Amino acid sequence: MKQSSLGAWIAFILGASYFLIPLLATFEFSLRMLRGQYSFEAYRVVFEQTRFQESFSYSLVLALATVVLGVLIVVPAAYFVQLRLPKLRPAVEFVTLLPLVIPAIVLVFGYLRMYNSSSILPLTGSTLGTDLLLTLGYVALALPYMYRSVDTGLRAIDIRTLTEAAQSLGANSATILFRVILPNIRSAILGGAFLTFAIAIGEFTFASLLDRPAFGPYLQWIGSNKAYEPPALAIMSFFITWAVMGVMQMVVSGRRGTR
Amino acid sequence: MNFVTISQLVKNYGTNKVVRGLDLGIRRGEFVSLLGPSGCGKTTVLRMVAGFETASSGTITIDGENVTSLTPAKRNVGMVFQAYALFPNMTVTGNVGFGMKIAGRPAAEIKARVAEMLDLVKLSNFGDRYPYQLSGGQQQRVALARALAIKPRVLLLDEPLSALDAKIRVSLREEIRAMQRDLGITTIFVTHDQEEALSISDRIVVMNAGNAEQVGTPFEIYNRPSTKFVAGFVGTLNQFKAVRTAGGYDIEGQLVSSDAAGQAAPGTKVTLALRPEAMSLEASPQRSNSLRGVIEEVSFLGSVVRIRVAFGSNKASFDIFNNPNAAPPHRGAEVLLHFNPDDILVLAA
Ligand SMILES: Nc1ncnc2c1ncn2[C@@H]1O[C@H](COP(=O)(O)OP(=O)(O)O)[C@@H](O)[C@H]1O
Ligand SMILES: [Mg+2]
Repeated sequence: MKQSSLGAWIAFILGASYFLIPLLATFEFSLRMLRGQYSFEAYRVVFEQTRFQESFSYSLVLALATVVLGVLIVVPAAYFVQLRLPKLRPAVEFVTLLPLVIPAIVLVFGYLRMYNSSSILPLTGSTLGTDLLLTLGYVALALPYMYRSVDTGLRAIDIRTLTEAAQSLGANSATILFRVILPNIRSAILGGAFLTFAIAIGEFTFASLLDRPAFGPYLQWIGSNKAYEPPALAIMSFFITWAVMGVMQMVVSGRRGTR
Repeated sequence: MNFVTISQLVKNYGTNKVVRGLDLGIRRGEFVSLLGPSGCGKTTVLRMVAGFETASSGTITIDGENVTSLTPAKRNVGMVFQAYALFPNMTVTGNVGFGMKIAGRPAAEIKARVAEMLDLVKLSNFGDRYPYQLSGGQQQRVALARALAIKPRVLLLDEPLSALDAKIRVSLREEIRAMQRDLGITTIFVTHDQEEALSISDRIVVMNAGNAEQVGTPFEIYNRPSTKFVAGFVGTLNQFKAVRTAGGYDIEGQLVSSDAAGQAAPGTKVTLALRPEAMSLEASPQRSNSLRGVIEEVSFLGSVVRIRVAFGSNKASFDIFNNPNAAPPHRGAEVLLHFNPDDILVLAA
């Protein structure tokens, strides 16, 4: 092995162990539910809990809805800002960063004030309304990641000329967005979607304060009551998140070669 | 009857007047170039014809229809960009068929038209490639095929060859011209390259600072430039400071005759111009004027030899063909340069 690549390997191994050792330790601990032997007992127990099944599928649906809604809101916004109002970009960027600065707890109290059952838009008055509010809240939480990712993707392609080329061929704005722009920033959208999904699937503050049966509050509950199930759940969410991303990647790039 | 009529077209960006009342008529099937230095407003004119920019005032009509305020999608004009602007996520076939597909044409029709277009640009075997798998020249052909596939009323090209290397540039421009002739499509071609404009256009519009300085055939533009700007921008030109006399001009004490009378009163200072090819070391009945000068520089360029001669403070460059049997004149030699009085261009001083 050459000297230079030795250094690179050491750096790689150090970096990898930083992530992998805690993961492996957690995994190892999750296998010890039955005394004196390794088993997947903790996983079996978790899977059988209806509360797990319900909260996980609830959050899964919400997370996917968040991703879809986020893409539908952010892509056209970033596109039109870049194309028509480039001077507004710094302002928009600042706004999208606000969810990082404002604590989630402040945001959710703001929502509760704005949309409570005696307000003009009483979203919290019904379950569906609350779910919608929660999803929209997640979109806001994920905004910094989604917007930056999409904005960078848009800057990597010449959106102005591509737009004009499509216009002169007779395309309207919706056609241009969905057939020309979106497919060309796929990987940027996917990057944003990954973070959005990861944020939404395990979020605690919003879900707990809006009193919805989400995965985050369930994790918190089980974490304070059980020993072996929480690490099993952590490992599972880790792999599920990756699996969902893999599926998204396949769905998005299914028809064409990679780029 | 003009197919495209641009009248009193103006474009201002704030206080910056970019296009200043341009008038231009283009006949059906004509190939017209907008030629001018960078920043003179060529692209802006083209973009207003395409509909990407709205005119500050003035009108544009295509085939009798006033399109001045139509969106680009409704104008049915084809556009080719300097940067190709192919859709990276689509194959060549996808790109060329895009316009028809979004117009909802039947699949069989699209397929046939795409095949026809790819045949036209000689890329029939490249239908399944993605743009990044093509060379610059091939990408520009695809862009051309894509623009032509929708059967546009007018084809607009904005410096389509500028990003290509010299050899491809020349061959592709010849192909573009041949295709344009075959299809008979009315074309506006923007370029800052005078050779390009001279070689492919039916007519050239020489633009300067948002105005048309001269409109004419390549022959007229080159041989009879109507302004000093056109004379200087198109081709190379030797310029002499001179003073008008009764029968001709006085160039630092040497007298030349000229029939271009009535242009200025005797004693007026003028600038005379001569194309390099109008000058010769050999006398002839037509070349009845001559100027005595001293050779300052001789550069051997291969098939031609470029010679620079000084006549006092005035200088002129011209080319002679290389003659394998006779060495070119050498530096410091005194020579007589002969030219036809009719070839003198008189420019304002
Ligand atoms: N969108 C714009 N905003 C402000 N000025 C512009 C814009 N587009 C072009 N200009 C200005 O208009 C002038 C002409 O530009 P352009 O038509 O692109 O010239 P050309 O194509 O002849 O090089 C330039 O001085 C340029 O700076
Ligand atoms: Mg230009």
